[in-house]
Amino acid sequence: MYILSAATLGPGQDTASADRRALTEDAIPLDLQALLKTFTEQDLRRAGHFAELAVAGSQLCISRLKQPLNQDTAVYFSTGLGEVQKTVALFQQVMDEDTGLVSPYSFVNSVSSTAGFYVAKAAGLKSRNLTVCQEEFSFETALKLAQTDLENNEVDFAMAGGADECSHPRAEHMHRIQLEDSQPMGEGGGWLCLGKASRHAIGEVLMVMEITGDTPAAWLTAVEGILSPWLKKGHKTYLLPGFRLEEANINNLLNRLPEMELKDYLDYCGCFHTAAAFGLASVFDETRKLKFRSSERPRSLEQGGGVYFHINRNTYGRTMIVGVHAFPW
Amino acid sequence: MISITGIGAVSSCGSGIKPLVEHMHEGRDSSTPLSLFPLPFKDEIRVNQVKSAPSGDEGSRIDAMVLNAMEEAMAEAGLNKKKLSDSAFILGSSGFLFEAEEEYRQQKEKGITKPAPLARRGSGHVASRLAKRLGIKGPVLTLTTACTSSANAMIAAANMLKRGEVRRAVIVGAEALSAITLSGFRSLMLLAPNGCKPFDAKRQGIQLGEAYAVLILEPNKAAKNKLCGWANLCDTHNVISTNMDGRLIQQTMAGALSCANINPGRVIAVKAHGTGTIDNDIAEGAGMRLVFDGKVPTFTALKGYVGHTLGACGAIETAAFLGCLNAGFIPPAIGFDQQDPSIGISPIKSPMEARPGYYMLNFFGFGGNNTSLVLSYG
Repeated sequence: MYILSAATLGPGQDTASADRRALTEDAIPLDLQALLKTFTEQDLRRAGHFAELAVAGSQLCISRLKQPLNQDTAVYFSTGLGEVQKTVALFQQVMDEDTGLVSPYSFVNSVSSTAGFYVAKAAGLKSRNLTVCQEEFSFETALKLAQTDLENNEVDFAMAGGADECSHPRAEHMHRIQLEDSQPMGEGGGWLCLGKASRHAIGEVLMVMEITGDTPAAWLTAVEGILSPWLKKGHKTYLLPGFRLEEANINNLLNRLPEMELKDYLDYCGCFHTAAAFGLASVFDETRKLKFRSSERPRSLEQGGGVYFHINRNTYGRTMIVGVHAFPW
Repeated sequence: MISITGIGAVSSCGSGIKPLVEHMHEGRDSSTPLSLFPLPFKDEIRVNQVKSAPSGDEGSRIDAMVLNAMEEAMAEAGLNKKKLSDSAFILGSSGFLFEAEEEYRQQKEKGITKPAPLARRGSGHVASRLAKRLGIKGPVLTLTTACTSSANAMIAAANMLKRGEVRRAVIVGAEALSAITLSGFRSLMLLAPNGCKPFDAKRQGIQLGEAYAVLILEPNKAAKNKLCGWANLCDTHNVISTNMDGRLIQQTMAGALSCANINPGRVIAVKAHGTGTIDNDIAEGAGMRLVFDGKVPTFTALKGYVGHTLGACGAIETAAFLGCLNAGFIPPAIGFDQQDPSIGISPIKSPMEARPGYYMLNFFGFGGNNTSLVLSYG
């Protein structure tokens, strides 16, 4: 499964690595109107912030394709929490007030398939459209479904992406994601346009797999068994740790595989369920400057060819690994 | 070929496939006034709610219901918990607001003046929790494409099985009633004051329902029921309603027939989505006329029995329909009385004999998500 284009959308609207700034505090919900207007003339006034995040990221990814978007491209959209802000508003309208009045727009935006609808509408797609919701593994699961369908010849092209929004008060949001207080709250997402042929590809998905390892030693051995062949082949190899991967796991892995380099993408996007989409798409970032972006560029993720492994765990002790090869360019 | 080796259900008709089939054979309504929680408006709302939760579970209402349906499906498939462990577990639901609402009410009852809304984790948590309770170590995923969620779960499972990624897949459709959902549909003026009347000239909207269903899918096993074809397409005409010209519904149904490698003439009957809303029934009627070139076969709709169970309707209506076929009949559509000239076709009003062959099932949802399945019986 080849990667034809990639895009990230982080809390600083830093859509390319050269402009990426490390978060110094919790993210605040992005204002995406200006960004959206650069991509689509469609009226998205009725779409909520969550849907805007999904549409902006997907449109950015489409804009980077080196070939026209195939109209049969299937959409595999993922989210951990879905629409939060409108659903919270609905709670207040329904559970706290006795009027029975509910905003129809809030309700429609809270429906699980709405963001996927707007992604398809903005892209002019009428093809397969799935929304996956699996907490920390939402994006990994969507990517796996895309891989299955591409390899089964069910679809010829796919877009796999993820998005999650943040909300305030912080404590309530952190509770929903089961985050520790020391972790930065984030929002954003990432998208990959995928195909079966290597023409115009910027990279390749090497694996989307779940591993078992009931003890820390067994876990380490299992992960090492998957990663070390790539190191032996002489690839420059990077570890992208997901937000639920404990520091001890990261350190043990880097001790065992010292040639591997750490890329802590969470510094740039904060923690949210689909941060993996941001992390994996960020390795393909292009450096071209877009006019709406800030000129400040204090830090950036290094670019270049390499093999990247995103590893995350969930609260049930499961581990998922996604491996991608970013082609040199 | 994907075999459906076990089905189980808990619905407003009762616990198990048998009471569902009995209701459908007798054309019996199972709706009642809502009694599960208060609503912020005075209108009496009729729903299809599960009357009593199955006993023997100290966890959530949702878990109790799913585990009950699971037991029935496993028994039919001849599986025990050990054999289930390497299965995929794929859940379809529109979400689990019910649990978050329940927690919110409990906090208010305890005197907390500003309880946290949406205090529960994302929808994926329920699948992870249930898979753990069942000892499932295979892939766990949740599809949330509104009313097509659990139908799309079957498609995802079929593709995993085709590729040999897993030995079997457990499909769960789960939908509990929610005050927010009921209020939302009311605000869209889509709740029927006179019950669900799919395709009827006097239809006025949907009646919401609660249901839990399980289907076990395995490749190439001897079974009466098989999943032969499928398609899912997105109609971007409007976020809450399907294009009334029926073209995308036609394309979805045609895609499923093509996937099954059969022509439309081989379809014995269609289980329509049949929400009972004015626009959607017109669109589905138009789609069926287009795909069958005007010669629409026998068709029926099941929401008069179990209500519109949103994300669960793919699983519960498939399980119910298969239950009826296996009992030898195609169930009639209750609530239908008089043909709508703008639709021009009518569902069956009494049970018909089920012949071996191909059957088609439609599921359409918010966000223009359209899914059709082709099943075989016999």
